[in-house]
Amino acid sequence: MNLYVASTTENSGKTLLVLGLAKIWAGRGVSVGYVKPLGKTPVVEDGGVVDEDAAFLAGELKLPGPPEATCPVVITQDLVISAYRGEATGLRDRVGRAIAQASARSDVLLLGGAANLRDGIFLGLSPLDIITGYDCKVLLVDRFRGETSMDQVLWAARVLGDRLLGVVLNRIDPAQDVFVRDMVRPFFESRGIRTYGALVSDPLLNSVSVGALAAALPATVEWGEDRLDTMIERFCVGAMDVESALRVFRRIPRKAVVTGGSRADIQLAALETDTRCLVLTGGISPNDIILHKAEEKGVPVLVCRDDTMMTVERFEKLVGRHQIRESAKIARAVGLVSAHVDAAGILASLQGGGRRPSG
Amino acid sequence: MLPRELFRPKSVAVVGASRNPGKVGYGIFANLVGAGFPGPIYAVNPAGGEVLGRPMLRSLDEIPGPVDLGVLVVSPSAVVEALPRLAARGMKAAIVISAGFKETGKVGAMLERSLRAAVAETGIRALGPNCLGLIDTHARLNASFAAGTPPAGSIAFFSQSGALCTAILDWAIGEGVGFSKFISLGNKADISESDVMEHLSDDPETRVILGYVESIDDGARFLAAAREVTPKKPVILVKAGATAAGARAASSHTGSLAGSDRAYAAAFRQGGILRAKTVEDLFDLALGFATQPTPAGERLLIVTNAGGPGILAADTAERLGVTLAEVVPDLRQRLVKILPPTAAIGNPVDVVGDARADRYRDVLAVVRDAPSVDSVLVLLTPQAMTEATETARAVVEAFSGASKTVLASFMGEVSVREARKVLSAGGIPNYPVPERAVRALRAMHRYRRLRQAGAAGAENPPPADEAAAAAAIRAALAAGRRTMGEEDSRAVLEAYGFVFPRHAFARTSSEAAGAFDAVGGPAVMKIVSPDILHKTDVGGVRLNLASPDEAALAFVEITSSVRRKAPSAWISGVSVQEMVTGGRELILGMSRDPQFGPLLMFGLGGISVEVLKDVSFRVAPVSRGDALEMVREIRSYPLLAAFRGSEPMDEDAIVDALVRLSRLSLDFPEIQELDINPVMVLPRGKGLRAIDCRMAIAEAIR
Repeated sequence: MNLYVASTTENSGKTLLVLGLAKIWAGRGVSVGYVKPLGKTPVVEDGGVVDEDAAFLAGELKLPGPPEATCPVVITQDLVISAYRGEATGLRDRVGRAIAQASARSDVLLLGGAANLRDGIFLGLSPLDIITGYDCKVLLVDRFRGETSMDQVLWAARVLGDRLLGVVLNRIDPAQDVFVRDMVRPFFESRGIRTYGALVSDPLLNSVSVGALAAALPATVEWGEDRLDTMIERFCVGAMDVESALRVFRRIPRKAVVTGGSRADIQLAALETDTRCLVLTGGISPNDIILHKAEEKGVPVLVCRDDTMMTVERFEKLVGRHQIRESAKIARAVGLVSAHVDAAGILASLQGGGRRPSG
Repeated sequence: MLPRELFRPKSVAVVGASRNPGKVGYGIFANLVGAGFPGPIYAVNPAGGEVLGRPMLRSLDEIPGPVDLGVLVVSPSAVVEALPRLAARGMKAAIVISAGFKETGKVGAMLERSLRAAVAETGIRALGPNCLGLIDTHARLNASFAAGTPPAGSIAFFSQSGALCTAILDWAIGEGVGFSKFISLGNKADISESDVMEHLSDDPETRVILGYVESIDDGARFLAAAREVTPKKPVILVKAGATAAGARAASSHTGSLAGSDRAYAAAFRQGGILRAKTVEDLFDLALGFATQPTPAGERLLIVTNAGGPGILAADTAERLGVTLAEVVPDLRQRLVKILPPTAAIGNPVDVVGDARADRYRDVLAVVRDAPSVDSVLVLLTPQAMTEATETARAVVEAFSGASKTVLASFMGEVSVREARKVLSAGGIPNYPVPERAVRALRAMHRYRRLRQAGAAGAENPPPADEAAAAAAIRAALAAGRRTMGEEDSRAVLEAYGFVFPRHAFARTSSEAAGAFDAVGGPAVMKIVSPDILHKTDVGGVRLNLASPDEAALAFVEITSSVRRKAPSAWISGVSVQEMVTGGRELILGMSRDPQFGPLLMFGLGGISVEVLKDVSFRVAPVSRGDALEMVREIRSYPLLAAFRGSEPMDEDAIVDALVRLSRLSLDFPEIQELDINPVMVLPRGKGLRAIDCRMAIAEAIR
């Protein structure tokens, strides 16, 4: 049985769902495989290019075989150019081999989809072709955004027809939770679209670790080498006067504060509130007194060479991705999926040979 | 309480004394000897030898007798080591002069922690570290490395800045101003300004307490100490870092976050502390308080020999709210008898430029006995006939033993130099210009009023449903929220007796029409969205809705406008509320100051807060008296009283609300910030209606 996990936009939560479902099912004695036909996050490892996301899942799910067994095609600059020249051939075969191999040794094969149902057509790897070619059912993950989501889900349902198993709504704002329950789910139900889960946006999953932050900015760790696993949920820029800064800082828990290395007052204000990391810009290290305070409070201090604006831009990209890598987030992800997604129902529907529940 | 031995030791040991005149360890020893300390002074230095003809002991063990007070001028680690050993010899108090502690960073901060631990273990009380030392003129104790000893007097001075201490000391010696005590606080590892204030309040030699503070670590303790001390004697403080630039400088200097200046201003006010803006101000005020009795009333009479200075003094008096005494018929008659016809008998009393000392003497004798006058300002400008020195004597003689408050301003320099000395010796404060004299007098009036107002009796806290508020706050925190919008914070405020207008939630236009029926007209409609902070900016508010149809239409208009102007905002629905009319808009708020805790704010809504910043602040807990002051202190207060035929507003209800807010902010440290904006106050007897509110919350350590 093949289950293709698709999404309506980027960063919807496919990895979260694959990780959660695979672990939950494996725990019930189901052997679960995973193949990501097209990888879009290339990273060089041991001299070869692998997909970062797929490699992570392969490790977590302890999948056998070389990286290309999990992710047969990774987009690289070379591959793109050869596609323009019409020379990118044989990709479909590579995908086919990987799916066949993985399928042979698992009860359920999860296929990690692209950001939407069109991504990959250029390379000859149309998601729809893969879904029909390998007789997949589709689970659609949507990052809930009101009417936009409705349009996306209904379009996908029309295109996929009977192959759509159902949807999982993810990253729902707490203020929309009741609305999703009272309005959205009944609507889908009335259209024959089954909702397998609704997950409220989770602060921990939205967070990044200090270590990941330091690597991404990049920044040097002035203090706190042993606290790089501290999780940051949001960030704040400290460029105002202390009083306004305090007001803002108090409202935002578990945050990193980005401010100039010379702004001792803002740094103190940050340490006075729930701050998990100080990110000092302009390449200026904090003075000794501040550093000591930070140590006392156990708050790691990063120093980066760029100015505050550039640092913030990098930061925003990082936080928006919602990457799951750290062990705390992995545990939370699995916990959330098992609590709020009907994993057993999905498995039953799959085993039921695609019979859709009535009503 | 500070140990008596800190100021009145029987014996002193200087650990780290030096025979090298360039060293601090020498300066301190020389000062102790030079000031004539009557008890044994031990010098300890492992090098041995002699200093100022006295032997230097090589170790603490060689000290032959008990030690009451230790002055430590050795390395920080040696200080930490020496304290328990000195405690074993009976030492009760220590002055740690040495630098190299918290102010230098990480290692220093660790040493300061050890110092604090040593102090806690031994029960010693320690001043400093990183301080200039201490002087008690009446005990002939100069345990400082300041340049010299000031004359004995009744002013006590403490300072967080050692450098400022030395400057002021130098000034005091030069001007001959007498001090009782000089205390340099340094890093305040143990002894704080609150300890010192409390101690000085019972010190018979101190009449007035002055201080320079940069940051106060324990705001609540400070406020309690101030309330204790100020009814007994005046406390005048200069608080540095009042501006943003100053605060920033203080932050990087002391490593502690300066609280907002308005929190300090509010705490000073509530504690009865007089705040001087400049060091000059500080001493002008000190001079008045130290030498003169607090005026019995507010009526000032000015006596002058020239029109100009008299007018300047009168101008300043009026501007600062100092009442000029009326020259009552009886006083006039007496003055007419002794003054020439050219003299102007009013207030100021102009004795005219040709006045010699005897004319001043006659006039002052009459003024001294006038029951319609509480204080006198004697002005003198040196003119051809003027006898400055003799006039100064006349002033001193006229008021010696009198209960009236007298200040002088003998203007000029060369011709009044001698006269100033006479005044100073006679205990009459002299100011270079009349304006400064009037300012000092104003402070004395303020102190008199503070003392008269006295301590308010204990009040019963307002009733509240603490459990209901706790449940609402806990639920929000459990959901991981840090802000509570109107819908959530309403429950908390209702538990504390705040009244909201009738309201109903609607998700569609037809629900809105139904909500209107439930609430009744006229009604207000507001957007409910977690993403919108300023509802009016996105067309999210409609007033004066008179029918269900209007409500339905308003729903369409509001939600359309929000969709257009804030496309990414999530629309939960709208809130339909009974419209409150016939009152005035207020703002009540609370924010938490790092030093003083909950700081309550009051102001009139709209322009007066946003543009004019016409707001008042107090530190919680606020009494009903404090709350009433908050209400009456704002410039727009007249708008709350009856005006142009409108009814007076319900002042009692505002006071009540502020006291409730004070209790709420003390009951729930989780509430970081709270705004009730706007609140409508209705005419007297009709209370308040909270229209909109929000809170910022955080897990708090209880």
